Amino acid sequence: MGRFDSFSDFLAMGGYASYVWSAYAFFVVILVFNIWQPVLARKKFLKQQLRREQVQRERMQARQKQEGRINDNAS
Amino acid sequence: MWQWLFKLSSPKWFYTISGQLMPWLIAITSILLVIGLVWGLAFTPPDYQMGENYRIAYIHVPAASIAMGCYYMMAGMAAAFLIWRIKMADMVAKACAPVGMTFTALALFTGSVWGIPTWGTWWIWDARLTSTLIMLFLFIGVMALRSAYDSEAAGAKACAVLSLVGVVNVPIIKYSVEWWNTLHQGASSLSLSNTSANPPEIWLPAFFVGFGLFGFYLIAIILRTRNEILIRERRTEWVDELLSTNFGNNISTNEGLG
Amino acid sequence: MSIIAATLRRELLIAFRSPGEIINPLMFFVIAVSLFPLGVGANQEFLSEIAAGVIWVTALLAVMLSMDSLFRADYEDGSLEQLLLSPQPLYFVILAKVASHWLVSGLPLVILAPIFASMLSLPAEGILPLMAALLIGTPILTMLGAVGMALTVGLSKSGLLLAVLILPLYIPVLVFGTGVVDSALNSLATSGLLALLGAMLILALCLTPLAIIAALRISVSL
Repeated sequence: MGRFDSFSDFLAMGGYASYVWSAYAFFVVILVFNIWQPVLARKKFLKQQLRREQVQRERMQARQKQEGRINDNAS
Repeated sequence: MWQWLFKLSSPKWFYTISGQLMPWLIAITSILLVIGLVWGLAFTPPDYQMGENYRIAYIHVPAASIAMGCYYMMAGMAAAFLIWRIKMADMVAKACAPVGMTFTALALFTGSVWGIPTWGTWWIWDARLTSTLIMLFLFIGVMALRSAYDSEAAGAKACAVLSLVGVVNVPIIKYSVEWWNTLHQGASSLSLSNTSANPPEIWLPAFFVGFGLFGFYLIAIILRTRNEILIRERRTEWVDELLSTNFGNNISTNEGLG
Repeated sequence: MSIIAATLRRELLIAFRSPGEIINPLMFFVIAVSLFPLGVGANQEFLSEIAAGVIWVTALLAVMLSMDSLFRADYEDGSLEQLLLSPQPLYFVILAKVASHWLVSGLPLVILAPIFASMLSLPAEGILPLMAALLIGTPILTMLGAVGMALTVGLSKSGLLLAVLILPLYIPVLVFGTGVVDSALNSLATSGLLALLGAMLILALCLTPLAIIAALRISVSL
């Protein structure tokens, strides 16, 4: 496999395994974080917006019902 | 071309255009990163001095340059915001700070880890690590300032001023730290870039990883900027429409990036 | 030019009316410098090695801590807003305010430094270069601190935010300031580094008032 004699040699990285792989692991952490955090924030925002709209809709409906009752009483 | 740039300063068009670009960007970035990393990790010869450890450089070097570029981009956006009052510029600048911070942290971590076998210690006050540490402080400072302001508009302007003050200082800081380092460390061969005796094929994968990481940087910025657009423009018609047509009553969605 | 003189006179008068604001940062400097031998031991050789650095770092911290008196009082009683609206050339007024602040907070440090430097066993050849470096460096620190202060004066719980913002920007001044002393102790020429510091001072004189004015406008509009 490439310049390494075997896959276990590749993992061993000539004795530097802990350094090389911890560096690459942190690299993966950063990659994942930079995608996961904005995606999570977006989902949170969308949930919030939907809830807000639902609350608004319910309030409108309640107001309309009240107005309907007043109109009925008036007419 | 200028028209296209002007379009980008409108949140709606930025959102639309970035939404169309994203799949391509993701595809190209993934290809570049996979090629570069596989090549760099498995198919290049070991360094004559550092053995296999130098492979960390494939990540460390682009991370550090991109972090630096990120600071300059943040300052450029700050200038655009202050001078021409382009709100879009502030949204991009706001995205630059956390992304820049993570890339700086990556550069610092990989640099430290590289240093353990090379210098025998995980931290060393060499010019590059020290300058990068200071840049981390600068990014954190901008983020701290923005969160300290309750008013979004005032916070945006304050961060813009701070970014510009910082950008004037970045070259001065770099120069001073390099000068300080040569004074105190002497001309030792502990430089991370001492690979001139190596064959050029070692650096070819670096281009792939470099461009790939830059593509990823753009993705990170665009993702955060799009969120910021949705939040700030949530009362406009086009966002309203976007939310209701795409997501309707579906709360738990697996929605794409468009 | 008379606006500078008038502002200077007024600011100095106000400063001397509350001597605590002048004395306290100096006392901080004095006490903090004295903490170092207590912390690292009284070995004279070792102290002489760190003397320049200790003096510079504590001076830098003292300047930063004294920044609070620069705009806060004016902000709280509304005169800052009036200042921004006045027809006076703001650039020079700001310069004069910062200069008067330096005269009561930075300059005393320059004068006190030799005493404490020799208490830290700094060799005699280093004392004059140290004073020269501080003389050029402390105005830079004051001006950068003023930028940070202008950005945070309107915030209610800014706490140590000023430190987070400003200390990274202080680093070049620190590096070159201690470099002057190190060069002198090694019998090398100090003029180059002093010239660099001088260039930074001029750059700060030209640019920081602009940043301060922009930041003050933001803070006042809160």
